[in-house]
Formats: sequence, C-alpha cells, structure tokens
Amino acid sequence: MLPEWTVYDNRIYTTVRDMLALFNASQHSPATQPQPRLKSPSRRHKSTAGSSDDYWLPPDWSITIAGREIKDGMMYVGHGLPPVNGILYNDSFVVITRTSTEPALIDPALDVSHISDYDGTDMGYWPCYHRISPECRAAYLDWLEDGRRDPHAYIGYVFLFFYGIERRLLENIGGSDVSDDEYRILLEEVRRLRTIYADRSGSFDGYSSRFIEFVQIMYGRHIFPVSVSAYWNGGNELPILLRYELSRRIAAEKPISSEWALAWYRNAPGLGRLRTPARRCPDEFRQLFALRYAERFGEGLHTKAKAVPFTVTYRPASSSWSDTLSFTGPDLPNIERLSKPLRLIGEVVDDCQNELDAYSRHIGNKKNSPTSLETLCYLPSALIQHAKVDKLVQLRKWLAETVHGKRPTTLATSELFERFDILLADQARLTGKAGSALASLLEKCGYGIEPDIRFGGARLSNDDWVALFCLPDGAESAPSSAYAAAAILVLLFWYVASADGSVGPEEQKFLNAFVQDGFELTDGERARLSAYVRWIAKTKPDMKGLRKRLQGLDFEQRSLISEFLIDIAWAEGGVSADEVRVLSRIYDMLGLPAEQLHTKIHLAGTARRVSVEPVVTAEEPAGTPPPPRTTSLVDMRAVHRKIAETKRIEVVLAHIFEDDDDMVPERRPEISPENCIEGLSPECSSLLLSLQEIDSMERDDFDVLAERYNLLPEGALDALNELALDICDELLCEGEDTIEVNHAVLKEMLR
Amino acid sequence: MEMPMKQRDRDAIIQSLRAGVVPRSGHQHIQVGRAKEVKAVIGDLNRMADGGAAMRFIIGEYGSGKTFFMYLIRAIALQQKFVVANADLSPDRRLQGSDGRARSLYAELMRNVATRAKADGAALPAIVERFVSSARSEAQTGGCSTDDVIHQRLNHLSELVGGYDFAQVIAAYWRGYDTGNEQLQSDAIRWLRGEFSTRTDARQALGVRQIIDDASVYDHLKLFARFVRLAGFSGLLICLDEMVNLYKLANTTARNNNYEQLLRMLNDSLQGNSEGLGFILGGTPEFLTDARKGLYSYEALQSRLAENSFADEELQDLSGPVIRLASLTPEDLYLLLLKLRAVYASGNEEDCLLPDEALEQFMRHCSNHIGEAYFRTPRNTIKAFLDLLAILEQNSEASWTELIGGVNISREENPDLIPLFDDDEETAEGADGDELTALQL
Repeated sequence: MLPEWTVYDNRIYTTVRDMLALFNASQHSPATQPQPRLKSPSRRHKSTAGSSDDYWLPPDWSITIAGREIKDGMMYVGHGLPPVNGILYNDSFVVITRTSTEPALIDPALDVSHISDYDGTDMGYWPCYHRISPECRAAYLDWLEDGRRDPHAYIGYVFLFFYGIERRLLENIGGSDVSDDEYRILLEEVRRLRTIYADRSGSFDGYSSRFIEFVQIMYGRHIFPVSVSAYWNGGNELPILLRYELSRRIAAEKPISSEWALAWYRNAPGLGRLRTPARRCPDEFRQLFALRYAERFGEGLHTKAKAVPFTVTYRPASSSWSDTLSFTGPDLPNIERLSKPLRLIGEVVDDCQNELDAYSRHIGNKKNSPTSLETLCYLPSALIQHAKVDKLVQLRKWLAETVHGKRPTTLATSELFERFDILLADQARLTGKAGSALASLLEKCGYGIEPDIRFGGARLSNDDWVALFCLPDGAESAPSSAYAAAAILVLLFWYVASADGSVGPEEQKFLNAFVQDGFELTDGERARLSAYVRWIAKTKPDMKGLRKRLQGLDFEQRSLISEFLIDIAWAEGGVSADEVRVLSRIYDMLGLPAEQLHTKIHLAGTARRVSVEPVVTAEEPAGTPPPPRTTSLVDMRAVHRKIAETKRIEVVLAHIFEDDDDMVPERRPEISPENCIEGLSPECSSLLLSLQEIDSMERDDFDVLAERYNLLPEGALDALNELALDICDELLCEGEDTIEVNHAVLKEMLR
Repeated sequence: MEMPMKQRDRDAIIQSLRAGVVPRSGHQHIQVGRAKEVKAVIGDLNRMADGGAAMRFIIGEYGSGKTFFMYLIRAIALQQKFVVANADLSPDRRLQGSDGRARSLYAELMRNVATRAKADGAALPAIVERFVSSARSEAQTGGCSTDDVIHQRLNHLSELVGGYDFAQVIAAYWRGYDTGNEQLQSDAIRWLRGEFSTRTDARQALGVRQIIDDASVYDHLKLFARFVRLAGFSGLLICLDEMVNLYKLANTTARNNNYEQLLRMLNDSLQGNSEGLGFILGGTPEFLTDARKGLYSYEALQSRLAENSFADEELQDLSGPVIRLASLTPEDLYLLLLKLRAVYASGNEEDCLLPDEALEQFMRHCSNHIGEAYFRTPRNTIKAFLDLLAILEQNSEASWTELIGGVNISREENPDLIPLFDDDEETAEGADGDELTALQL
C-alpha cells in the first residue's frame, strides 16, 4: 500500500516533509511502509526555505491534490521552493523577474478550476505551475491523475512534469541523494514519456533525449544502451552520449561493433539519412547490416583519433536554470572530425539498402502480403538463412519430401504455384520478376528449378511442368557461356534423338557423356543440365523458335556446331550407326548439306588418328609425351582438346537463347525520330512529354513509365537531367523514392 | 556581373568552406583566375572528347589549391558530358599493389563515378542503363534482340584485356532487368565496381570467368573509358588526389611498381593508346621532384616529366604533362574575399555585410597574426572570414571594426610532413577532409 495524502486547501504546510509529519501524527502509517528519507537538518543550511529534497515526492508515493489522486510521485510539491538560479521570461523572451518559484512545484494552495483547459490555450512557452491559469492547473492535474499517458495532452503539461524530473536529477549530480532505484525509475519514466510524446513534439524529443544522455554520462550509470534507432537529429553534432561512448571505446582500442557503427552513422551530422528500404524494413536492415559489417570488419572497425578534453553541455528545458550546464571531463579521442570510419560504414549501409531494395518495394506494395512466401523470395539470401518464418520451414520440409536424392523430380506448375500462393490467370505467364524471385528463393533453400528464367528458361504458366533438383553447394545463379551453349546443344540433340519417337539407350549414353564431358561445367551446372534434360523429356517442348534461330547463324558457325558434335561422337572411341543417324538429323536441322556429314565424320576421325601431336592445350605444357594410343578407351587427350575448343563454340551459342515468344509485346515510342526533342532519343522525348501530367510519383511508377517507352529508369533519368542542366542549370527530376518533377524546367525543355 | 546564384550553391559553398573542405559545387562563384591552367586542361578535355588521351600532374605546395583546382576541372568535365571518377590515394589504395590494394582504388573510383546529372557519384547504373537503353532502341529498329546488339556494340572491346567478360556483365545487367532479376542487376554493378574478390563468386553470381583484380585495374579503366563513349558520353576523366601517398611508401619496390604503372599510363596517353581516357593527378612538389623517392627517382618518368628549361615564373609552358600551381598572392586573396562576400549575400550587392575597407583591415589583421601563411595557405583565413560574416549576419548592430580585432586565426599545419605509420589513420584524416587548399587567380 502506498501512503495516501489528501491535502486540503485550508491546511497550512510548506513541504512534503511537513506533510509527512502530519501524516505520521494522524497514525495512518502502515507498519510495512518504509519511512521516507528525510534530509538531516545540518544539510539544510543551503536554503532558508528548505532544500529541494524536502519538496520532492519520491516515485513510490501518491498524493491527492484538488480531488485528483496522483500516483507515483516524481514531483515537487509544496510552497515556496525557489528555482535553481532561474530567470523568468515572459512569452516575448523578456526577463520579467529573477526571484520566483520553481516552475515544476505543485503548490496545492493554488486555485484549481472546475473547468479543465485541456488544450493548454493559456499556457505560455515556459510554463510554471504557479503562473498558469486555474483551468490549466485543472487540466495538468487531470493528466497526472490519468497516469500521464494521454497522447493528445498539450505538450506544455508534459514539459511541466518533465521539469520536475530534470531538476531532481540535474541538481543532484555528484551527490548521493538519488538512489540507484530512483535514478532508474526517473529515467524509465522519461523514456516512457518519450514513447508517447517524442513523435508529437520535436522540442520534447530533443530535450528529453539530450537529457537522458547527459544524465547518464554525468551519473556514470548507464541503463539504456544507445539504440540504433536513436533519433535522427539531422543536426550539427553527434548526440552526446553516443560521442562519449564511441570516444571511450576508441580510447580503449576496442573495435566498434555493428550496433555502435550504425548508431554513429545514423546520427552523424550531414549523414545518416536512410533510404526507404532501411526505413520500411528496419529489422531486416539491422540484421543485414550486422551480417555485412561483420563480413567486412570482423568484430568491428578500429580507428584512432587525437585526444582532447571531453566537454558535455546541457541546456535545461526548465526555466529553473538561467544558464547552460557544462562539464569538462578527461581527455578522450575527438571523433568529430573523423570521416574515414563513417565513409566505410556508409559503404556498408549503402550496400545493405541496395540489397533490400527489391524486398522493400515488394512489401511497400499494399497488394502483397508481408508474410507470404512470395514476399520472402525477395529477401536477401543472407537473411533467408537466418529467417525462422513458419512458411519457410514448411517449404524446406516440403522440398525435402518432394525431391529425393540426386535425381531431378518433375512437378506440375499448378502444384508449385499452390505452394507459393501464386495465382495466375488461365492464359497468363509468371512475370520475369516473380520467376526470378521464385527461383532464387528455391536456390536459397538449396534447390534448383528448371526451366529457370535466370538461366534463359521460359516464363511458366498454369499448365507447365518443372523439374526440381538438389543444388550442390556454391551453385551458380547465372549461366556461364559454357552452360548456355551446352543447354542449347542438349535441346538440339534431344530434339533430333527423339524424332523417331523415343530416345534409345545409346542416345541416352551419348547425351550423358555429353553432359559430363562436353563442356567445362561445374557440379552445379551439371546438376542443372540433368534437370533440364529431364524437363525436356517430360514436356517435349516445341522448338520451332530454336530452329529458326540456329538457322539464323552463318554457315561457318553452323559448321562449327556440327564439327563439335562429331568430335564428341568420336571422343567415345568410335562413331556408331545410331550416332550417325542422330548427327545426320542435326545436320538437317542446322540446314547443312547432308552429303558433307560423312566427309566430316571421316575427316574428324582421321585427324584424330593423324594428330599424334594434337593441339597443345592450356592444361598441358608443351613437351608432355603423348599418352599411349588405344582404340577402345576414350581418348582423354582429344576430349581435352575439345574442351579447349569449347570456348569458340560457346561464343557462338551463348546468345541463342529461348525465343522471344513470351516477351512483352514491344511498344513503339510515340514520337518519330524527326520530331523528337533536340538532344534526346525518341524514347526519352516521349517520356519527357508524358511527365507533363505528373508532379511527383513513386519510384516504382516511374520505372513502369520508363519501361513503357523501352527505357531503363536510371539511364532515362540521367539523360533527362543532363539535358535539363544544359538548358536551365536545374534538375528536372529529383528524389530517390519519390520523384519530383520540376515543371518550370520541363516547360523550358519543351520550348 | 555575377551569374545568378542558387541558394543551394550558396549554402554548399559556405558550409564546406567553414568546415575547411572544398565545396562540391558552385566553384564558378569563388574561382579566382588561373585562366591559363584551366585553358590547358580544357584543351585536354577536347582532345579526349575526340578520342584522344591526356594526363596531367597538378603540382602545388600544401595549401596552394590543388584540390580546389581539381574539383574545378571535375565540374568543367562534367559539364562537357564526361564521366568523372575521383579518389584519393592512400596506403590501401594504390595504382599498383597486391592484396586488393589496387582493386580498392578501382572500387573507390567506381563508387564515385559521376555524370553531369549525377554529380555526387554513384552514377554507374545510370551509365550502364543509358548504354542498354540505346542498344534496346537499336534492337527494335533493326528487329534483332537487345542481347545481340549489346554484344555487337561491345564486340570491339573484346580485343582489350577483360573485354569479353565486361561485355558479358553488361549483358547480364540487361538480362537481369529484362527478367526482373534485381539480384543479377546488382551483382553486375558490383562486378563493374570491382567488388568481387574471387573468381568463384563472380562465376556463381554472373557466370563470368574473370574479375577485376589488382593486375587488371588499369586495363579496366581503359575498357570503361571506351564503354562510356559507347554509352554516349565524351570520355572518362580520372582524378587522383593525394598522390603524395606513393612518395610516402617506405618500400622501394612497392613505390617503383607504382611509378612503373604511372609510366605505362603516361606512355599510353602520349601515344594515344587509351581512347577517351584522361588522368588528373594531384601531388606536392616533393612527390614530383624528390630524386630519392619522388617521380624523379624513376629515370624513365623523369625524362618524360622534366620541365621546359626556358620556362620560369613569368613564362609558363603548359604543353608538358606537369602543371605547377603557384600559391595565392595577397591580391588574389583580396579578390577571393570580395567573391566570398558576394556569395554570402547571394550575389546581391546591397546585402553585403562588410565594406571594401573592412577586407583590407581583415587581411592586415591576419597578416599580423600568421604572416604570409594567411594568403599562401588560406584555408583558415577563409574560415575566419566566413565566421566573421556569420556573426555580422546574426548581430546586425555589431561593429565590424571591433569584431575584426577579435578574429582568432591560426597557422595551418601540413599533415604531409607527419611521417607515415603503418596504420594509415594519419593520412586518412588529412586526405579525408577534401583538403581545401586554395582558391586562386
């Protein structure tokens, strides 16, 4: 039970101490209640009206004033406590008096109206309890009784209460009157008030945060860690506690951990402005930053700086003080002029923001659920590994059950889409972006998918099939030219081999050998190629497009492909009749004269035999004795020679990927080259015209708009702004997340 | 008369100068003279725009205005549609080195790549996208695929070292955009910025075999210069400041390797082997002429850099690769103060806070306190002057005559004279601040 105090206006008292005496006299004191501390009389000589300690109502006390029961104390109550050394200003900042009363002191003798001025219309800039109107007092006491939590309360009331805590702690710096418990409770209270009011008042935000920092330094008792989400002050100096802590760390030659580094960067003058991705996904950003920072700096950055005396200052919010408090401490490294560590940290911040861009944009779109698997696709892989989201766990389980061992598993897209909550219209195909994201999420779980749009695969629709397979560690997420070429040849080969209805064991063997040895592929690529073969076998894709593109190659390139395949056939030791059949179909498909095939096979065979000293490859230094020739085993030397030649063919094949059937229909720019704006391409001119209707737009919408004119957004912005600078020395479009269009500039450009 | 001044320029200039660093924009408002030197460099830029090459050493004493001059050149180059990349050398960022020291210089340059529209750097995606957009437009007209056009147009880069993979990476960027694969796009940019440190990573992310490594930094700069021309820019200007860091290398082999690289670059530029590529290198006199550790310690460089023996203080020869910047004179400084006063008043003469006579009195005051240094290394003089203006602005009733007497000014220390430790913190501090050294006529 807390002691309860009822003070009537007609009772005579001066301080809390007097009230306490009255209370004890009235025998209401429960035995369990610890006696409030009282200052010894010998220390009271400082002030004739009693020291402020005598007026202080500790945190665990309640009091009833003007019928309002106010819990938790933390106030000065009584009559006649003078300010510390304050000057009282009127609202025009003119000094009106020097001798007055502590602004935070609640004098129960003063009038309290029946009407509450909750909006604080009568409150001045520097409110004092004894000077505000009875209506304001009523509102203030109401707010206190309510537990100091109404977010709509007038901020002056919050300050009035804050003044009390401010005085209590500042006045006792270096003394022992404030116990550890009280210290903690008071700071917790300020922090609690900050959670309600800091966003609503920049002034309260500034004073209270500086207060917390200043007090923690001065008391040397740190109860709040410096938070990375510390306010961004955009100001001219680092928040003092941060500067103090960083300096001490640097003085002690400790590494600067990622939390400290981020806090430093966030609060450094002129820096610290985080872009949307970091602001929209603060948790992901923090995690990613910690990871990337550790990758780059291990335990943290080390840095050095010249030591100078450390000075802290605090300008109290309360008018109880007339001056700024200042304190000079020991010498500490002066980090204010260090820019190199900030630059390094800034690089990591930039990278993390870029990494989160796609994810942030995806969840920024209100249509997307922040918890769906599709959303997770956009999360950077570094974070996926640490994510403990249910859906992800389920997905991994499902994958492990679905894909057994090393053999690729085929699956209907409808089943896959269901897993991922992807809804597609009947005739629609998955967009490239969604396809990439899907593939990369699977990859992050250790699985590959074919067709994979990132490797040139087609866009999936509802009635397609896919092959899922286990990816070896360190598998690629983009095709090398060797893989691209191999994939084309596999497709070509399969097409030819299956022309007679089925792929026979001989042909299968040929294909396997090809997959294993034909190109210099990594394990990941081989696994993918096998899955690709499996997918081809399942879906028997239509290859009109490929045929067309192959025939678009020039004669020499087509011959190169055929020779390459013939060599592969020979590499197995001999060319079988089956192989000849396959090869002749490929010849046909390549549009090469059929009669040349046999000559080519013959030539390749004899060249193999004659070239006792064949091409010296990079792998083999000159002078290595040729291996003994055999007739039945695979001549590895020849295979290596082929591999060395592979690069030539890669160049030819790498760029004949899937045909463009499902590409978005191309749109022509609206402007013909003749009427375009001088200095701009027709596409950019059209884009410029379309900006006339727009004042500002989200970056995503700009990207879509640019795409409508076949432009890549960054490039388009650069070209438009360059011309704008040429013409009127101003930028046309500014902003990162939101693009603002300067219409004055636009008008000039169109003139 | 003064050209109209933007509020943004005014604030940038004042803020930077008061902090003792060179402003990033608005140089024209505080530029004082140096017409011949600027003209010589503009000649270089024109030659580069025609496919030529250039290399200039900007040599000046500590505080004589090298950095300011280089920023001015940078601003001019941007205006002429050059792509500009700048970086300060440091013990960890060299022209030639192992353990990623050269690659880190490349990475720094690429992070700072700027175009006219993106003058603050980070313009690499914009450059790549301008190239790809134009390839795309060409592909549509010609009815072929964008991928083909990209390879076709980059085909002649293949003859250069690293050219084939470079083209692959640009194509990967396009493929990433085309398929909505942002990861691939950002990996392509990372590759171009020299941020891949192993081949395996590069192959996994992009399917290419090579990376930009210590040995191929210069080749990639040449490649990139060709690329920006294909993307429609005039050329590539590389600004390297704090060259004195090479001079400070204690290890003779490491130093000579760097000088050898400089020689290769110089030869290429003299022989026109690097198309559209120019270098502006800022250093102190000892970096150039010290016969033990400077460029002159390297015989082949000395013969190429030796100055015209007929040139003296009156007759300058700016046709050689070396431009020596003279320190400011008191007259220059006076002009500069006039300009600063005008900048502070946003170009409105009636708003000027100080009469002409005050400038002279201010200079006399500085001269009494720190002697010649007030005009030779004017950073502190400029700071003090702007602080004075700030006080006058806020206290309109204050009298300048009294205030000038109270101006506190100290002599500038040259951090280059501090010996270099293994740890680079000392230099980093000096180099970091975009050392404002001077503004000169």
